[in-house]
Amino acid sequence: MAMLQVLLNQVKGPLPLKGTFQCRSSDIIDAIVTGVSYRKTGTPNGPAGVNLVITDSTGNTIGEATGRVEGSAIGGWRSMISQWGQMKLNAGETYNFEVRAAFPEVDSSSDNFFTATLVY
Amino acid sequence: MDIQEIFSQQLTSLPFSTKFTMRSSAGAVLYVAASLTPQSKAGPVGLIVKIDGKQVANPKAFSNEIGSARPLVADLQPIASDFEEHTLTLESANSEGIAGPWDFGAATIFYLGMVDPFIWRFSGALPQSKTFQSRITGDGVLFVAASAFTPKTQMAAIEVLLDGQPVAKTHMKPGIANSHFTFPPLFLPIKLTAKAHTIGLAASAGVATDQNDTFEVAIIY
Repeated sequence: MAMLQVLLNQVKGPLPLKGTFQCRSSDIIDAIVTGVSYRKTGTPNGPAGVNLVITDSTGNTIGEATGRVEGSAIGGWRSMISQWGQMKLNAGETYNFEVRAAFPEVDSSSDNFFTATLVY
Repeated sequence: MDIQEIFSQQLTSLPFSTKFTMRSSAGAVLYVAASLTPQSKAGPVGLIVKIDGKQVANPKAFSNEIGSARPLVADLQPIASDFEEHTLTLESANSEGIAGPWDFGAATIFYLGMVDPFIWRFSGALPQSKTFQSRITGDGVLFVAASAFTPKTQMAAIEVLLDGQPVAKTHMKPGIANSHFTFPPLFLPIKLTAKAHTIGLAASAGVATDQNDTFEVAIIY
């Protein structure tokens, strides 16, 4: 039976969104972040998106999952295409997570909702 | 749960193919998410997803804007699995959808073991509900994907109801009125009892859905 750990469940922006969690397993786990993204008005056409970054207590990046979408689409915010990220953590240890803009041009607001989940 | 990423990248052209080797003969589901760009008119866009030439999934959406990337309603479908090499292919479902300058795609396999998932994919106006028999007592994995439109630009939500009680909700604020849009999909835990349950989808006030909207609810045990 799969076990899930929810880091964020429809939490409003703006980005970044940060927190901590205690890992429940030393097996390989997978992470996903979903939500919407868009580029700031006046910036060149290009991708938008966010990164879910997992770091340990020393600040080293242990794992990452991403979401991407066209950043200048007509009508603004678009749901991202999410890429699962795989990582190996240690059971019982506390880790940091952050959902952050993937590019400097990415906009975010309190109208955006993000969900981040770990699958053991 | 063992998860195998098949690919995740910018889609520069279609058809797109990649080879991969499965790593279990137990039950599996394929998850495909992508965006496409309609090139000449409003209408449906989608992907035909094939493994070794056989269609296994059909993520799709209705696009009202030409030349702008449209995220598709992601698709999660059961597939046969083994330890062999296979070819995954993405083709546009019609001549309208192309891989534009900034379209993306991703495909992932979840190896489930021997317990078949519950998968309900449909089109049409909400609310809708369906009965299923939970195979377990405990936490399952709920997947939900949806599209809708709003007569005016406002915050919109689609709610998942289990036996009439809300268990998940996805939000989106579209920038254009009367334009179909795709909600962010969700993967969340859901508490189940080994019995018959009714699961439903409902739209929040002011949110419209019709035959051009696609929905999927899946429960993985």
